[in-house]
Amino acid sequence: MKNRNLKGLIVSVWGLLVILVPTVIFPPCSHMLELVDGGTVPMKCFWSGRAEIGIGFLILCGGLLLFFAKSAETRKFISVSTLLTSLVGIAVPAFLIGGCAMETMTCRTTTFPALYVLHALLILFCVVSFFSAGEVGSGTTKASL
Amino acid sequence: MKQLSLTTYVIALNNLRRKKGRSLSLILLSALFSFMLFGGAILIKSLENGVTSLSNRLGADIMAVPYGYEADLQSALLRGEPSTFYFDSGVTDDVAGIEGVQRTSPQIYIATLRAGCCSYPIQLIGYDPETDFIIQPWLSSQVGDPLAEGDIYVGSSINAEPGQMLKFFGITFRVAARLDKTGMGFDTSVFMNLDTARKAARESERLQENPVAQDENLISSVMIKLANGYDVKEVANRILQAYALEGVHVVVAKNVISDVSGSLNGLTVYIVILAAVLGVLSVVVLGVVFSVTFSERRKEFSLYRVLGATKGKLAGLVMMESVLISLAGSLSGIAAAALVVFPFSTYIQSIVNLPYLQPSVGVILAAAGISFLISFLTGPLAALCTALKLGKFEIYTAIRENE
Amino acid sequence: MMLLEVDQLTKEYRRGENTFTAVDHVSLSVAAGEFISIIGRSGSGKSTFLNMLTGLLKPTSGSVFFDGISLENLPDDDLSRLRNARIGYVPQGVSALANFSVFDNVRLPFFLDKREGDISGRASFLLEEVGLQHLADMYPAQLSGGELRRVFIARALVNSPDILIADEPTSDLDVKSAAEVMQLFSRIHQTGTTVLIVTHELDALGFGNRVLKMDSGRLAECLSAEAPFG
Ligand SMILES: Nc1ncnc2c1ncn2[C@@H]1O[C@H](COP(=O)(O)OP(=O)(O)OP(=O)(O)O)[C@@H](O)[C@H]1O
Ligand SMILES: [Mg+2]
Repeated sequence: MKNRNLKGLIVSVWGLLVILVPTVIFPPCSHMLELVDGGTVPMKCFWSGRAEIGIGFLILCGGLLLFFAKSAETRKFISVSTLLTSLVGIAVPAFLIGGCAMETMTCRTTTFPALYVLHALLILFCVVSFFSAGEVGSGTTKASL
Repeated sequence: MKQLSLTTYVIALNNLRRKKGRSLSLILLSALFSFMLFGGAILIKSLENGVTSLSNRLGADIMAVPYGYEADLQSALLRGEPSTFYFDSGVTDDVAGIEGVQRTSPQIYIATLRAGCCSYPIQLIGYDPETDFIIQPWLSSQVGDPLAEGDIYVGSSINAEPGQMLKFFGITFRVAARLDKTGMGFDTSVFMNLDTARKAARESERLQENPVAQDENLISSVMIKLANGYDVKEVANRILQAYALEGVHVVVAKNVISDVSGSLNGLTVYIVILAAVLGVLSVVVLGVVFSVTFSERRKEFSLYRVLGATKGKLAGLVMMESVLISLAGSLSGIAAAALVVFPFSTYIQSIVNLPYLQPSVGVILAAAGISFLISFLTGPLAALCTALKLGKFEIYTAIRENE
Repeated sequence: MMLLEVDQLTKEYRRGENTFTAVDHVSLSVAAGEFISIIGRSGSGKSTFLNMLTGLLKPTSGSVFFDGISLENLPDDDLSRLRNARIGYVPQGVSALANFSVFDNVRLPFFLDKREGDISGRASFLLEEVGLQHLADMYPAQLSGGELRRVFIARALVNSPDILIADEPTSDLDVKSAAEVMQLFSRIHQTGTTVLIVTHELDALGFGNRVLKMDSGRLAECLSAEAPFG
């Protein structure tokens, strides 16, 4: 398999992992919040998890695009957009939506840390992928060892 | 196009790249070792820190609790597992009268079913600011005034800023301060004075029954400090002799701490053995692989000699390969350990179920440096034997191999 | 002074209880600029002889002087440097470094000793000389036997050695490829490099100003072109 195909595959798998973390691997706190009127709503962390499913899907698609993209310019663009998606993936649990106020809650002990680690690694990968995409305008990427 | 010079480094790197499978498995082995070393070091250090914090924060020598609730008190202290138990507040004065007891201070524990912020039970701890010698000493370093009615201190695990309002049992409390991390049960506890605690108990009646709501004279425990020169065991026995029939039991702080350090020692031994086994394994496996591939690569090595490489140059090449493997492995192992140990520290704490307090940045960096050094040295050490053998084989017979 | 002075060179191998004399008191003088072909049947001791000439194999007795330097007393490091700088050796069989491209295979000897500068120009030139410039980025596994031989010859020449020694550079090549390789040696010789090759009897015809024959470890001068068959 070509190096660039492999990169696309890795990003896709990463996207899949981002989807799997809040759904299968480390689901966030399952409790429902009881309202004064007796009704229940899911807690914030649940919505953060939901958002991550969408973010994971975007990353997965980015990976698939990277798998097929040949030109250096396209590959650079996909790397940048995936990187930004990952940044959003960090921002969602960190402050855009957030999670439980208690550090010992499941979302804060496992779900969010796992997402942070995944996104941080992916951001690093995107930076590498950006710079190893080759010269813009050279058409295809240069074969590397 | 400018061509890269074929320095020892470039040659070694090239040889490693062209044998990806072999190189990656060796790197993985080395990474596993450094992961174990660094991860284990941080784990052990954090647990040691947790015990230190426990013995520093547990200012009482003896704690009197209702009979049958000794274990509950311990899990409340160590892990913040909410518990509710009560006896008469008269015990405070009773115990104060025992010979050898210098100070006593009552506390009230109330477990919430869930806090307003999240569906998670929290331990509310009511203490008496006038007699207290446990909580305030380490609070005062962080906060100025004693707690006013309706004010609370929150443990470090509760995400609330000073001045913020928090709701428990429908009562709104003002957060006076958020405490430093202790690594123990205090992190998930909320502190308030006795009156506030009783008010909370009364309000909690709406959700669950609480004896404190009926009886103003109930407390959960009495913290006891001994006068100088008295033996903990003796005084504890005296308390038991005098009040055991009234349902008073004691927990000796020293025993709690030694229990914890006992299980900590067990864990430490386990980690150290695992790291040692992995270390030996990685030297042995790397050594075996190097020497096996050496015989496989005899022809290749002899070609360098035919082309005029000195023995030293060849040895340097083998050492460089091992250095590169070790470097990549050690660095990635430490990075991987960091990605597990730091983000998941709370999770780890909940698994080991012991006081857990991460060491300072300096200690962490030192641990990383030492782990790196030890792990890094295994590669060159394993290759040394092979590098020394390189000078001894007969080039002439070696180049005839695989003809 | 002779470039190469071989005196009573002998190599005995152990074969169980017995000793077997692979090279038997061989003496030879090679002047700079000569083109010498050694022919001989398989097992006659040709490779053993060449490996002693290049200092890769210690003789049982006798001596080799390279440009007045005795190989016997030379420390191993100096011997390595001598081989690196002044002797271009093409060992018998395939001697490619599989992890390196053709181009890097050719450049490699330059970097095995401390040297300043860039050898890329010369490496390209040599590859062009042997007609393989277009294969520079290939790896040895992708080349044919004849192409590989030419790579090894280019590699042996990269440090501009005083002498080029090649062990059966034409074996298992077809007649046309063998002739090409022999012509290559001829051209190299014309640039002033001393050439010493071990080769099949037929290939040697018409090349070299001296043809020697090795027989059971003994070396003898062939006087005429017909002699090899005699
Ligand atoms: N290491 C060794 N130990 C014992 N005997 C050896 C050794 N190397 C070579 N010989 C023997 O020495 C003799 C000469 O071997 P050598 O390789 O020099 O022959 P050669 O003339 O190069 O033959 P070929 O044309 O087949 O390459 C052979 O009979 C061989 O069996
Ligand atoms: Mg031979």
